[in-house]
Amino acid sequence: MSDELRDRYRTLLRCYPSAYRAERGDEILDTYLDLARPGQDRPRAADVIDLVRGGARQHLRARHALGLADSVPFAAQLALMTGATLAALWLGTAELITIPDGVIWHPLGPFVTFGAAAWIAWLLAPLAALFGLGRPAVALALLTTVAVVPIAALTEYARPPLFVLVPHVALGLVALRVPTRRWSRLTAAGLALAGVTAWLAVAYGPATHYYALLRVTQNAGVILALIVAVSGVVFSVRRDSRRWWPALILLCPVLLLVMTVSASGNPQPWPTWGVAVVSAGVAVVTAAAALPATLWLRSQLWRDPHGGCPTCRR
Amino acid sequence: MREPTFLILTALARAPMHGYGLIQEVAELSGGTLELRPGTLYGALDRLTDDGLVSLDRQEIVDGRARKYYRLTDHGDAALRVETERLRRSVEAATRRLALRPAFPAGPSVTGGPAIAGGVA
Repeated sequence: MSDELRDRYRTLLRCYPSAYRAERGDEILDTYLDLARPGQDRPRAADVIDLVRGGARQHLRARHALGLADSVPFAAQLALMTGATLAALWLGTAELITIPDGVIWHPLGPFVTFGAAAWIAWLLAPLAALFGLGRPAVALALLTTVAVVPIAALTEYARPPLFVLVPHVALGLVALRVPTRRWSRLTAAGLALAGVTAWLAVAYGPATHYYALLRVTQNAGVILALIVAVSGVVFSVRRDSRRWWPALILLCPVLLLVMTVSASGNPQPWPTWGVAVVSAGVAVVTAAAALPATLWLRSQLWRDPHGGCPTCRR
Repeated sequence: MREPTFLILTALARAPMHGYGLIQEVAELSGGTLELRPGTLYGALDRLTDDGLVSLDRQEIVDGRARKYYRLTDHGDAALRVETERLRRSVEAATRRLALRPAFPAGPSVTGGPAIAGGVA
């Protein structure tokens, strides 16, 4: 076995916390060398991913925060459910308004803005997730949502307001980690909810502009927060490691959804540009700061003064 | 209990094992479908240790390398038995349902290859 291979694996081990590396590093390294093929002189791509992922998990474990990693698939499914349901609502109401005669407008088929393309992608994402294709489908929905802004700027098509698009981008970033397995009850429930919402919106919903639907985003944020709260209680009672971690992961989309209304003012009932930017900035910074702050707090609260051994816990 | 956890505990049920041996044993138990990598394996072992299902048994020096052996704890033994019983009941229920399946008309696809195989199994 070449020293070169050993050195390369040792370099990758730097992904792990130093205390853990000192205790366990040689053991992991030796196991990799035992598994190496004859003549192998560099780690395989799967090894790199394995060590980076393992190192990240150990950093979380050192801070008693493994529940954060465990919560990502659940939070991703909730984000996908929320994004798809809102997309169904936008598609069935705001995208179907009638443009008054005499107004020069460039519709996208039966829809009034290019945002319809993003909403359709969002509706297809939970369906694709049921067939194990959730991540590429969410990536497509996310890219389409982001692309709506430059496409509208460069073409004649209109776009939905940013206070609608930005929360969807936040939801999409979380939903990217939707589970890759083929069937999930939560994803199926999300698809059913989006389908029923689309039907209700088309059948009974008022065809009205995005600006008249500000409360919808706020209500969606409140409902998402309530679902996370209920799941937090259930996880805590069951001693599930996920506990309240999904709340931390979904904090950014929830704040963006809820703060839209508070950013609106007079005389117009929708957010002004400056207030909307400040509101979104506060939401993003708050959510981004909450994660390291929580991890730091936990590492302080559960600090092991003697530096525990990862294998024997002595 | 997830499949890798179940297979790691199953591998340790017979005797204490070191990391490399565990990877080989899990691959054999899964019929080659689950190939654990060391980063994943030791992460799982840490978690199982945290949960009290696995503990360090001993350390040996082999070819100049320190090898740690892990063993199933009493708690791990009990957890594995509970999970095995749960899976056994699921398998029995599925077997009973499949045994009833030929009694129902299978529809137009009954003349097809895969449909027949699934129906008679």
